[in-house]
Amino acid sequence: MSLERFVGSIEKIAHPVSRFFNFGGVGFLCILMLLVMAHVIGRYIITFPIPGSVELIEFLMILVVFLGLAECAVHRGNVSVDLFVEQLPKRVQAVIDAFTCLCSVGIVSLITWQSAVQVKLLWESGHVSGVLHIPHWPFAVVMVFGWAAFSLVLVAHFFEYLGRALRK
Amino acid sequence: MNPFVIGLIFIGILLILLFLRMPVGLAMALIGFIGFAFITNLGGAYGQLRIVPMSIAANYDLCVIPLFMLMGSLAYHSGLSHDLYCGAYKCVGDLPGGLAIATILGCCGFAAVCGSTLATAATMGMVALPEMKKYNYDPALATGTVSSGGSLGILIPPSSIFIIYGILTEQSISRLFISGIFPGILLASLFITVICVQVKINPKLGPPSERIPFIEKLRAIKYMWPVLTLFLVIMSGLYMGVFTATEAAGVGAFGALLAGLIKKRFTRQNLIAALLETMRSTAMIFVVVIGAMIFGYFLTASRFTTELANFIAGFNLSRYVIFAGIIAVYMILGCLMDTLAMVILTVPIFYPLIVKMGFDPIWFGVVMVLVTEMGVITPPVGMNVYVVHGIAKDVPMFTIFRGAMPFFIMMMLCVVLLTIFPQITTFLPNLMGG
Amino acid sequence: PVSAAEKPIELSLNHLFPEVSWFHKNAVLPWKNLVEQKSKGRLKVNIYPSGALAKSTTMYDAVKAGAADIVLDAGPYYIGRFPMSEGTQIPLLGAKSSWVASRAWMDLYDEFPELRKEYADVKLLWLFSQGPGQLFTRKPVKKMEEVKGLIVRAPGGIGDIMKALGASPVSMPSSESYLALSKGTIDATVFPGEAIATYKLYEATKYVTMSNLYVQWFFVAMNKEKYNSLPKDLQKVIDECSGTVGTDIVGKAWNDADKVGFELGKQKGMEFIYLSPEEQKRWEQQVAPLANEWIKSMEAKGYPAKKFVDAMRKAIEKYNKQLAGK
Ligand code: NA
Ligand code: NA
Repeated sequence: MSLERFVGSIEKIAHPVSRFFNFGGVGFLCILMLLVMAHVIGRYIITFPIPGSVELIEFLMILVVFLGLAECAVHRGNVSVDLFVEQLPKRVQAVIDAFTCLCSVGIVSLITWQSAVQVKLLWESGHVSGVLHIPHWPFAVVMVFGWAAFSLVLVAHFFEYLGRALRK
Repeated sequence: MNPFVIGLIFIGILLILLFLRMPVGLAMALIGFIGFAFITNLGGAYGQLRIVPMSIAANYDLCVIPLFMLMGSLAYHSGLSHDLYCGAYKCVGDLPGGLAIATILGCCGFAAVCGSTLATAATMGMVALPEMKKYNYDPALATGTVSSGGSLGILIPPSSIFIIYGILTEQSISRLFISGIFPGILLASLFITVICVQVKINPKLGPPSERIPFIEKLRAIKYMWPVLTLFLVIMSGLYMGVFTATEAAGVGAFGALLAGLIKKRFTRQNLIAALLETMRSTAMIFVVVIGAMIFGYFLTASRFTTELANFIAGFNLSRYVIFAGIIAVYMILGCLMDTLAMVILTVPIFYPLIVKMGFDPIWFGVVMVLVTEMGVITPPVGMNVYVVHGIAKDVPMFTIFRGAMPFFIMMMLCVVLLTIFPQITTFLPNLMGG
Repeated sequence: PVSAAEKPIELSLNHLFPEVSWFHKNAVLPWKNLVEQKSKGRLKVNIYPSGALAKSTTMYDAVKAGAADIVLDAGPYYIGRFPMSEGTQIPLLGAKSSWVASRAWMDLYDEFPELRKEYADVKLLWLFSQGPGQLFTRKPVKKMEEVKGLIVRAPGGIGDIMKALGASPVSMPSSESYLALSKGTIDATVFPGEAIATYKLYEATKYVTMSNLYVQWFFVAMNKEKYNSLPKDLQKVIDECSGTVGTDIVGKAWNDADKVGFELGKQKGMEFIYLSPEEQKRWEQQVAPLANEWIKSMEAKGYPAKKFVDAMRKAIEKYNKQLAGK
């Protein structure tokens, strides 16, 4: 019972955060589409290429990709191979899911941590974009938040599976 | 320890995790990380974890993924698929088996703006199955047509699997797209042929609908123009080297938005639904690609693929025998796995082998897409069959698999044709020059 | 002599050129062989071409972390990270070949601690330059006025040079320039001479303006811990194979490749336009503000930029004389 409540309280944080990030990502996706369109028009129709459009597109991609990670996990949208586990009894399925989910939490947390290290390294290195001289590190910060929210969602899933495995 | 053995062990562990239902991208990242640490050092493995995700996401070329996804989503939510079917129905509906042929044509059309097999099968199923039921089509033929026709979704460009293949192998995505056009048309013609043959043998399978006057047939163009225009703009731009793939995708997404707005198809709800769907599939694909890259670096560091190539070369077999072996592996995996998972898992292993044997990488990409697509209609895991079963709940799964069988044979025939006449694939991209 | 039980220490060398490239065959392989031979087989260099272990633009991070032991990548991908090194990219300083520029930079590397400090995270083996960039055009360009208005493929900082000369730069992958040039999507592109053979440029265009526009800097770096973990005598082997030894291997290879490119271009009927000394001076004056700007902004940050550029000009002059015919 208390485990379920625990899952509920993690989800109470994780889900709104994921949704919020995802809506941010939607906004950047629209900007991305318009920017690519403007880039094409600028290049071919009025022969006035937008300066730095390629690097802006790349920065927007970081925002779109990493802001969507958590929401995708909330909807269990990540590809997996269902065939074998599906045939097993529900209890066994829950045990297996808890185990693989723990593995997932492990790797995603490691990536979150290393992304945070990357922020520090990028900050120290002074790496900037070629034309507009925009620093790279703020985008790495967004990446850290994206992975962190992803791992939070996975933690909630893990306890949920654990609850199912332990249920009498 | 021998790197080959290390590689083999870690691939084994990866397969176990995959069959335990761990998300493919995360499983590959995990095994890639542990394997890299094992072979080189922990610091280097941590390095890959922090370098790969950002360098994959911040990549101008990979921007094609969200943009083509967006184009497909917008096309779907604005009801373009329904229009296409209506148009095709007007043209060929009054022939014997005409509705099935119209379904294949509709799939072709939708495939030209959508990069996903499932979406193609699902949307066409939604509009075509009720019609075919109305005219007393044989359920096996009807459902078999829809589930197989969906596979045109990734053979005809744009195509998510071509994009992934292009990324993993550093082949030009534009060229891959262009090279998929003729094989896609070939496969569609084979599908139509097999429908005609079946109906010829047993006319009760697909009775014709009432006659449609010629003038009505001409009006069909009204339904087709947005998709045709979009496809022509994108492909001719890619072909002439005017667009990069990313630019084409941007134009496509914007064009789909424009077409939907002109036809007044968008509401706030379905526009947001299209955007959310795009975000979700983008995140899904990037997790998979990031995982595949981390795993790929491990395979490279272990020199597994090099050793595998030497090992196989040691047998002195004809390269076509080895090619047939690879195709067989794909067919077996196709029975068990999702297309994307399969491509991500196998390309880093097989691709170096294929190149070393002197096969054309673009040609192999097309053949591989075709072979992996057979998997969506083979039991026990046939995603398109599941989807169609979801739409036509009264048709037993077995019937759908049976109905898809003739189409499966046509796909095999298509692989054989592409192998004997690689020009079908390479002709157009070679004309592009460069 | 190596005892049967002693296994060689393996080093991974990750570089950005494809396995089929002349660079792989004529620059990377000879260096590998030199190292293996000098170490009497106790070092084994495994080459990973085409960035197989870490992509271009991430290689410096990868070698720092230890994902690769040695990397070879282009410096200009790392904007803002090597401010002093970026000074080597000042256009039209007159280096006549890859070898000349590379040797000049190695002199600077020994002279300026500020430059050495930029590579403090790694064990820098050597710096080198690609062959001087020339202008490939669809119409002949003999004067600066004819550059005006051309759409030129020129990546990154080279774009600024082209802008200063009056052209409008666009950036696209080098592999796509053949198609874009032959279809007329762009009017011109910049490349070193070897590209004539590598990208079959003679099929796409006919005119080359020999202007030695720019040079591009590359670094070869080794993971510090890996270097420190080697026995002293093997460290010495690495030392003896880097610095000017490495520079000479790559510089010579690039010179040869450029020559092959120019020869092939001549055979295929390309027209090579050499700028007159006065015209060359005009181009140099036109882009001079770029150098002054760089010096000014760097001096403001406390770098000895003026001294650096002067030393570079002097070194280039010296090696232009020494290595001219080679
Ligand atoms: Na498609
Ligand atoms: Na299957």
